[in-house]
Amino acid sequence: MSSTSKKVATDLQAKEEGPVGPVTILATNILGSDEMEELGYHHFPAENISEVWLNIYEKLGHQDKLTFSRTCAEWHDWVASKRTIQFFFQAASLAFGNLPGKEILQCRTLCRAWTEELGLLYQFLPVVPSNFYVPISASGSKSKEFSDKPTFRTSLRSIDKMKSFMADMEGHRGNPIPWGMLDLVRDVPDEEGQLTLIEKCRLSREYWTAAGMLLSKFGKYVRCVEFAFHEGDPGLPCIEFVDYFRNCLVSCPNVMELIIEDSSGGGWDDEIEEYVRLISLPQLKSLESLEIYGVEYDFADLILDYCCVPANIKRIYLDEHRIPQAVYCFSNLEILEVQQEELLYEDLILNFERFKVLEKIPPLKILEVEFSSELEEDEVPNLLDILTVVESFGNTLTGLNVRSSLSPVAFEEISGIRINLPKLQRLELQDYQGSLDLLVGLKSLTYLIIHNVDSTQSDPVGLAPFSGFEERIYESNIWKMVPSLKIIRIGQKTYRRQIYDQMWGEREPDAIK
Amino acid sequence: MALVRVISSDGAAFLVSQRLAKRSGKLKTEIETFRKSSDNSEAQPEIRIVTIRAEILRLVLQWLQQHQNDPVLPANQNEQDGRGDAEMGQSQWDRDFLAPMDLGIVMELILAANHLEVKGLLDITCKLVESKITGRTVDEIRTAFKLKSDFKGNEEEQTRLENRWCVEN
Repeated sequence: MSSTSKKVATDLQAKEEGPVGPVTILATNILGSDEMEELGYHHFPAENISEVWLNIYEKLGHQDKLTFSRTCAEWHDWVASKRTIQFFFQAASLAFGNLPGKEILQCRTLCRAWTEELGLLYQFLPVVPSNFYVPISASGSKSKEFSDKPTFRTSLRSIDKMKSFMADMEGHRGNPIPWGMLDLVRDVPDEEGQLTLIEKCRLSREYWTAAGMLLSKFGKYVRCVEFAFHEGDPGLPCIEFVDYFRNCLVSCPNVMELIIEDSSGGGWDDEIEEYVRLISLPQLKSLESLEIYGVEYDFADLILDYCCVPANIKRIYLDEHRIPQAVYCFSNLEILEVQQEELLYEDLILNFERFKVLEKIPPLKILEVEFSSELEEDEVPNLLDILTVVESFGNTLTGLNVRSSLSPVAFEEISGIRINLPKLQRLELQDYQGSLDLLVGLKSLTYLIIHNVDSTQSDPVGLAPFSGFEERIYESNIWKMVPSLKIIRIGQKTYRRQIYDQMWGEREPDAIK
Repeated sequence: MALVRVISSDGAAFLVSQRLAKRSGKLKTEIETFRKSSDNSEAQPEIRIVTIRAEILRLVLQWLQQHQNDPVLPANQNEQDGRGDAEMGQSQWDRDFLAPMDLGIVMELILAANHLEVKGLLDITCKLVESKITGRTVDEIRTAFKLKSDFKGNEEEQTRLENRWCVEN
């Protein structure tokens, strides 16, 4: 520190009011003008033309507005009355997390700035944000989406709602879908079961025609859209559906997330496939995330082939018994969820083996898998099998959720084996009651969650065999053997390292051998 | 006593004991980085906080001083207990500390507490902002935050109509 600075510090101490304790603020003051120069603080020759600068201020984005107010004390004072707008964008992202949705919506009606900023804050959330996979909360619930912020969708599930929405938004020149999420999951009326096929077709046509018109007007604002084709829809020829679907997609060029559910049971044949190839589907350049439920495999393949820019896709959910060929080209895929009770484990292995030989293995962060539980006893994979299969994603994988039951693995089978998943932070298993010694090699493991364990059974955690584990989990040596582990959740109960530390401190529990 | 010099965006210098400063996650990291890179173990670290002005930095330090003996909360409290501890941890001193503040200052304090990683202060300031919105009418919120309705034409009604179609996920 320069001698000048030292002198200032001494002077400051003398000026401080109140007691000066060993851990108190010793001194505060604004530096003198000499030091201001040294700190790069100087007067900007604009004090007499505040109107000009305030006019410019009004045209700045929120980040530039913050910079403006920090430029000099005078400018800061000019905009002091605008602080609740100036700091709104950043502060709201921190302070609005616990606000009920109703209150957030109300905040949109206070002033233009808050409406716009809330739109920016919520609408353009990335599909795969950095905090996509946040740890469990105290309640044990997993929040996978957007941290703790509520999200909203514009829900138009019936023809009446669709018409009413269009009437409300007649003359609307901006974005009537403020959060960018559109729900086109058509409700099937109760009485539809009594209708003739012709009537069903009429209702279905009416709905999807209106959806097409709505999207042709407002589709450019849609960032996430969910389509669901229903049991009420099969009366329509499949080709007609393809047309509706294509028209809707064409009108949503900015969509980032596409959710398609098909429970119509409509037929699919070569003729329809040829038709799709003839008309083609639009490529969605902003698309990052897809969820595909119940869609005919061949149609799903076409959607992936036509609509996706492979390098842009970051997340995919499939309920199929295979991983479509296109997925292997998604070189930046971060989240893969494969859930299908009919998926055979051996097929799953084959699917994952293919990733290993790719020139570029996707940087998968999250993997959720479910496979058939209808397996012979000796066919059920164990924890070692699963962890070995996913090792090819070892450089990136932070979360693994196995939704199917695994067979117990004996200590002798895994003795000396070390799993190479250095970044795995969160492991979720279903009904697991085998040894967890394999976890010792997982250097980043922070959360271990075992779902649906019957807590009356003894010894679900094999490291320290004892009965009545719930009472004695804090005696398990898992806390010592996996130092990164913070939380174990078994069934509905959560156990925390901090309690283990408080119980034992530097000592070791007696149960540890 | 080891000291650290913390300088605000507008050039105010605060001389603070390192023990107190280290209750801020950010300052703690900065001090430790300085220690590692400095040859002289006696040298006094100097930390410039270019995003926080003196008035706000002083408030943060005041709060830290008052809470110097509280347990330090993890910055990423979400993994533990969410933000539910804010109410529990709010003392009469906290209430008196925040009471006279303009909500614009509170918002700046939120950003400062977040930047400096002072979890307890972040909690109580966020809670205060929430309390000024939850259960209040539009007019009450506008008054509290000194906002003026500047909607043109039927924009406000249009916004209400948009809200009508929004369903929480």
